[in-house]
Amino acid sequence: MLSPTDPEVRAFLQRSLVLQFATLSSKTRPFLTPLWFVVDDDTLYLTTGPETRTGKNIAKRPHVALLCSGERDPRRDRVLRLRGTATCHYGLPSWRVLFRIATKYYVSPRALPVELQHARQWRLRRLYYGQIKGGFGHIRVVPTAAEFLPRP
Amino acid sequence: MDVATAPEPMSSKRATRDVEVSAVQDLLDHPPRATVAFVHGDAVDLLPVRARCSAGQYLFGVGIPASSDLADREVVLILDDGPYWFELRGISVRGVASRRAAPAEAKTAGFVWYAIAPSRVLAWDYASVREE
Repeated sequence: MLSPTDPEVRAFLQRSLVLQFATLSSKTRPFLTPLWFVVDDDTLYLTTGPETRTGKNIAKRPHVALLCSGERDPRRDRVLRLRGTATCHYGLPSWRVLFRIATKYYVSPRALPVELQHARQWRLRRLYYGQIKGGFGHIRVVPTAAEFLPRP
Repeated sequence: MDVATAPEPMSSKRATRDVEVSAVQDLLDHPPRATVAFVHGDAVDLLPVRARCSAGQYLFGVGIPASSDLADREVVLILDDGPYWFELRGISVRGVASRRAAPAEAKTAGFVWYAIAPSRVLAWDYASVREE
């Protein structure tokens, strides 16, 4: 096990784009969903809200597990598993976190061409987000343990 | 997947990114990311896996030594791809796992293989977002 603040762990998180987020339901059933995330002050901010299945699970059982693939890591032989404690919050995160989300997923040199290519679908995306029950929210995860696993 | 867009007033039309499983067939053949979640003790856990899926068969192989035996346990398998919003595609398979022999085409010595008896399968492709 590594400390979540180990420099190698931090670097791997910076090189990861989508993480798999595992939670436990109130009936002790596993739930898994891929999510975007950014790191701020050693806390992971995940982009989903309190009224989602994930959010409801966290409200009852805050201990979670995460898997990062390191899509931009030069080594392709490992993934990173984190364990941590999660809390769910109504409303948007801080402007600093929003800025990190925007620069990572919307206007980075790789993201922007994808956005522009699908400009005609932005209205549909707004409609899609408008359906979110309870409005926007976010999840904060404080990692408690980290471990590199071999990529199968 | 993100929180950076303001919500709109409620509309009678609904937007969806759900698709038929056949629309993400390439993910079943060669999933860039394959992950399985399960309950271990009183906590949730997850592992990277190899997956071989076709014709309604959902197989995955676990290569981590000393990991839990997942036979007869409920699991969720996700195969997915894409970092950016309009590139996000995936399939989620929930069901009970059972041990089985390694697929003939899988060069996976040291892996323990399972088949999922699916109770729920969901596929998505954000580039296909549309009104219903």
